[in-house]
Amino acid sequence: MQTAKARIILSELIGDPRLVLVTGKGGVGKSSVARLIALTAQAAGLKPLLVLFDEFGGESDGVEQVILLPDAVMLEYLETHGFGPLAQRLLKSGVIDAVSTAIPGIRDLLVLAKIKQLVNSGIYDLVLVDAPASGHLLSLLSSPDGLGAIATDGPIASQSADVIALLRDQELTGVVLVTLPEETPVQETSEVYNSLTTLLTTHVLSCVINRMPTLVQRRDDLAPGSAEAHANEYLAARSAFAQSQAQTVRDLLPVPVFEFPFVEDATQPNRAAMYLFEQTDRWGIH
Amino acid sequence: MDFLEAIGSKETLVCIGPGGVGKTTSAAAVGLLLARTGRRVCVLTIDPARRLASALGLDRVDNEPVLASEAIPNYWVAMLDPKQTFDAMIARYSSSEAQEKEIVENPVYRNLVTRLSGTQEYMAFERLWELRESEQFDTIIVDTPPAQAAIDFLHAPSRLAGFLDNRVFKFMLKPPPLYLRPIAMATRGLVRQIASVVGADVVNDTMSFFQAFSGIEEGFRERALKTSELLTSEMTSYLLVSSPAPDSLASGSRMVELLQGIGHEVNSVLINRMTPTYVSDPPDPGAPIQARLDLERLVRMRTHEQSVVRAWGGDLALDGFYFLEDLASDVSNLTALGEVADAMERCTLVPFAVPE
Repeated sequence: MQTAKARIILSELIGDPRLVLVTGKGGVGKSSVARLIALTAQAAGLKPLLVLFDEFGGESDGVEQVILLPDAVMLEYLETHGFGPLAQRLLKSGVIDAVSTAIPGIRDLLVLAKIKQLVNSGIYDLVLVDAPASGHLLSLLSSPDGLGAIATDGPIASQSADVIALLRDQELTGVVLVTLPEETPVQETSEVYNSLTTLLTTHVLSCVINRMPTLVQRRDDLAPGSAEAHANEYLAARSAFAQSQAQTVRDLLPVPVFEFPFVEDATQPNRAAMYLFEQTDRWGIH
Repeated sequence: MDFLEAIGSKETLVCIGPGGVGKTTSAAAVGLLLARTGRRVCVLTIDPARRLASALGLDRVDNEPVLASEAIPNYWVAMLDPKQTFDAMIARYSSSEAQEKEIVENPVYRNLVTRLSGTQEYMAFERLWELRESEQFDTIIVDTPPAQAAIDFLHAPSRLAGFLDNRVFKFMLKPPPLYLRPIAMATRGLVRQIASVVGADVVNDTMSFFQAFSGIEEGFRERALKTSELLTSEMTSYLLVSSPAPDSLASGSRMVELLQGIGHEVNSVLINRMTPTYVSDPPDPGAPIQARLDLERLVRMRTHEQSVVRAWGGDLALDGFYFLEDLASDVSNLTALGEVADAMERCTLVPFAVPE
């Protein structure tokens, strides 16, 4: 992959932000897309960091990655905020648990604050977050707002304000929505888009339609009722349905939309990512 | 054993599985299949995506069960409204209107209801319990939210109980017995320190929430325990729904492990969206090369999927899986859903590979 080509792909896909959150309904392949963007950034000569929330995160692929687990982040925060060795005991006593169950946004806020710290560290050109599924992302992103309303004093309140500022910074931060060419994911993507842009005023960079099936036309030169005819009917119907869903996405979202092809042998996410990377010609970037 | 037999005639069937595998549609189709046998069935969806309504061609589905169609008198559907359910629960257990008002207006409660991931799950149990108690249904099918949220789902009752039971806050509310005073003193110190980090008003709100809640937590705890029991009882069975995609299967395995963690096995596995092959149809000898290649591609994908699923299931304590073939488009009316139910009725067990 040439650096120049990777740069073009990257600028088409995300532009030039410092923090990108990749999200989508569960099972749409958002992790593969996040990894793909990280690999592209690397090929473009940037230093990306991939942030994961899943402790079962994939292979690293040579891209630097960090896994954020809310409890560990909370512990680190307490340890560095004057609690020192007391932090462990606090967690064990259940006080922290009760407070954070009552005010659940606290965990989310600390995770966001940790991400902000990584962005501001200056070590990375691009921080890519393999964000939680979109429903959870919305509550994650709205936690500073909610907490800001509840906590009016103390470090948490100022932390909230800082995080909100970063999330709303159109230059620095953006979201990539990943979806599938199917009814439910498309509908949800449109809802998430509306919530992100209206409620949170977070910038949406682009939408990726993952696993677009190969284009197959309906044929009329096959013996009716034969296996070939049925296979063609199925493939043509699936392809037409996917095309119509992709069109719906274009109609609903005023952002650049990219189609990633369905990969038959995508047994491993990183292989899928590499495959997509080599196939970029197919989604219109040369 | 056919699929209907495998599903059995339990009072509660919980459908679990990763997102994007057609879980809601499957739950609706299983419900329809059971309704055809004469059982009074209610499908309760927790996933706020309106898939259940659109699978049935309905405009909307609410907290109260409604008949999916005038034509079928024993097939109901409902979609959980967590806030409505939680408010009703508070109203039921509060000793006075003043107490109810105090709880409902506390910021901690509002947070609990609207933001806490897991609240939806607590309320799903409450709703399930209410529907059970109404004795209006023979079988309730619960369509759980995908993956991570379903993990919350399974832990929800014990977490709610744990939260409401928090001794630290109990100490703050009323004087502890003499021998516990030193612990209580230490706790107060800790709480003060927490207040210095999260802000005093957060801690105050939490305290007053516990204060307002005091007296009714008993009702909540009992209910949480009962729903916990319900989930692990003999009358509840679990259906894992997945697709043959490796990442879906992997997250399916994790959910199976979690279930085992709370002492329950998945009773059956349904793999959705297997690639169709049309092997029983006659070949067309004159088909152009591209059409033949397309058919071969389908067969190749199916063979691959089949071996992936068989190997994957080798570790499960089950004989095999049932599967449905992929549909070219989404199910969006009762007729199409009926066809899915027909296909379910016909599907047979495919054995898992024997682990080496």
